[in-house]
Amino acid sequence: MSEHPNPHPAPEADEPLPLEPTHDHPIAGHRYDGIREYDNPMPRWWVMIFWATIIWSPLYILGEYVFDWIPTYSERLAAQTERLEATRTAYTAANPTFSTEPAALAEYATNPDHAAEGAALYATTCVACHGDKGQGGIGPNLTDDYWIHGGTPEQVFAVITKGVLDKGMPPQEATLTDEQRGQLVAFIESIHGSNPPGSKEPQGDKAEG
Amino acid sequence: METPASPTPAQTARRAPAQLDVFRYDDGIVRMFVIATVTWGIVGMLVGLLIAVQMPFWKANLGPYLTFGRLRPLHTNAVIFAFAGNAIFAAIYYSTQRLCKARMFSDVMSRVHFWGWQAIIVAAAITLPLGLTTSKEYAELEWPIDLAITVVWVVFAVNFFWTLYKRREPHMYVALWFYIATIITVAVLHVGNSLAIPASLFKSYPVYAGVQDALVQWWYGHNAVAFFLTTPFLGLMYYFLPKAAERPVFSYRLSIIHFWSLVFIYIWAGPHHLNYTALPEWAATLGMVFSVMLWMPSWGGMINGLFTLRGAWYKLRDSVVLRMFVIGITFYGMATFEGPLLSVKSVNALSHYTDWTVAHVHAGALGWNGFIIFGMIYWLVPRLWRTELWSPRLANWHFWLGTLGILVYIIPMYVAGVTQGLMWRAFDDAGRLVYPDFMETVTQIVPLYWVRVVGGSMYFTGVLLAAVNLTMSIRNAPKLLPDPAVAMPLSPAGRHGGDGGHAALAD
Repeated sequence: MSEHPNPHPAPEADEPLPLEPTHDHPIAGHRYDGIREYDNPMPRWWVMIFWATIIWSPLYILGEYVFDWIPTYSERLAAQTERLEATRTAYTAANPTFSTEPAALAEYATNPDHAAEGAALYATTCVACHGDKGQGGIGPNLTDDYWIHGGTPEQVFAVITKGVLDKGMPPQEATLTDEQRGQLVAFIESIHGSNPPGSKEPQGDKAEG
Repeated sequence: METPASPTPAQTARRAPAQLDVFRYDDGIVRMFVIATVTWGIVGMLVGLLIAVQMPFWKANLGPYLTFGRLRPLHTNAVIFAFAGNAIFAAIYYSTQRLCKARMFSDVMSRVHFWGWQAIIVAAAITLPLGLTTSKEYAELEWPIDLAITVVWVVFAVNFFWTLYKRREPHMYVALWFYIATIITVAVLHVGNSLAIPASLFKSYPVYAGVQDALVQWWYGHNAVAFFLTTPFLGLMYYFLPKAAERPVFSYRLSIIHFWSLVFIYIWAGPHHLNYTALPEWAATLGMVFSVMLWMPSWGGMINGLFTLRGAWYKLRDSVVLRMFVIGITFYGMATFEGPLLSVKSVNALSHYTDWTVAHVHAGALGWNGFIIFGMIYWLVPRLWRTELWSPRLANWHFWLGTLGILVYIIPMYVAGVTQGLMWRAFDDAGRLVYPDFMETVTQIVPLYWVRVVGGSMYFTGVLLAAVNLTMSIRNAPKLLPDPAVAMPLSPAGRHGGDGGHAALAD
């Protein structure tokens, strides 16, 4: 093996494998297809970290199951749920409640400002199935007089809230607040009778009055 | 220690050969595996590039057969078992013969292994696009192919162990320990995880049910990484790195400690793939603590690799082989620090199911496995084909394209992973999800998917350059490549070259 001059000269050694590590002495008899081996000590930091992980491991297990230092899945879930509930309670307390009474909803739905808010929500949540102008697509036309599940603000609000899973309408109860769903109802009311191009054929029953 | 002690008369007598034992290495089989490595590497990475495009550009999903869902397992199988697999076999067949001072036990078994393995790869490339799959990650192949894998692996094992048995070296070098661990454990993992009851020629059901199946699957899946992409590559490193650097290995005792701790601890770490699932939490905790304990055993290999280069760092300037090894080992160190980190439950809660995992895997696969493989190939080609490497300049381009390609691949994937993970858990002040639509978290990271395509293309271009370099080198090779002959003193005491075992060390 050709040796280039280097700061760690490899002296020939002809002694059995020592019990204590040596520094840059090749081990006698260890020649494998020209490869020799030193018996340098293992780096101290390496040994220390290895021991640290070995000691930490049983402590972690005991900490989780015996000493209760580390929360389990269910404890973590309970803590997070509690935190979320507190956030929601605080928000409701700080903001006026939105009434879902039929009369209040009908009143809310006539406000053009609410309809404008609803238009923005419609564009992200509803547009894929009901079309960009409410003309319908996968889902029914929202601009005509025909409704599958009823066309009053109260009924439209219920459909948005609970969905119609048989027909592929997803519930928005968990993703939109009551008020946001009210804004959507306002938007849908505002496009009634707009008869956009490409309107889907009527589905359901003609709404009375 | 300045001058070696004079040999004793007894030693002189032992060392005087009565007769020479002449034999030849089988390098033909190594050449076959090297060519297969590069060929399947191109196929596997080309499929990888296609599915990388399919992520941000859905129209690249072609027909039922070439969609992401069917091509993704083809990509992983091709790069792991075809590209890395053939490279492992090339390394083992080349180095085992030299470390044992013996030809492989059976040329026929070597060829059965080679052609059997290629046939299995072709079978995978046909069945996976057809949608024939067990749906177990990295073990998608259906039962007839699983049986073929078992047969070919047993042929390989018998051939290897019989070569060990008839070796002329008294002692087994550390590379061989890693090969032994690989061959035994892969057999156990493959058979254990593939146990299934056939329902028809192309459909079977695993013998395990529910979460037990998931646990067995990830015991297998994690240790496929350990015993297919780590232990054989460490063995490979222990042979080819000191050969290329012409330096002694840093520490024999470190190699013993990190070998045994690595193979013992790795096998327990699988449950960290099932954090926050139906798997009982104590099992996930066990997997997590073993993953953390695995950190230093993994780094033992990195230390022994990098410290072996002490006094030889100047050689990196001229040696693309050593530079690839150094980048490979560095990525190994990074990936094996990141692995324990990702196994920690609170980190996993953010990273799991995001592209962070993809970044982690590709730091390991492109950096560690890929660069170790190509470093080895650039070292082997002149020796196997007895010619100069056609263009060291092109190899240098491969090195830089590959290195930068890995970074351009993994950095956007880390960003994408953390971004999406944070978006999923974001709540507003009303306690509602800020991004309730999953699609919103996807469209956010689409630009990063395009950057990944660029990084992957750079790495792939480097591999194409390697293929050109290999082809042109082979063209310049002499027509006749006889197997290299070796002469060893014939020992009267038996096939193990002396008194056998450790006693030979005491001379």
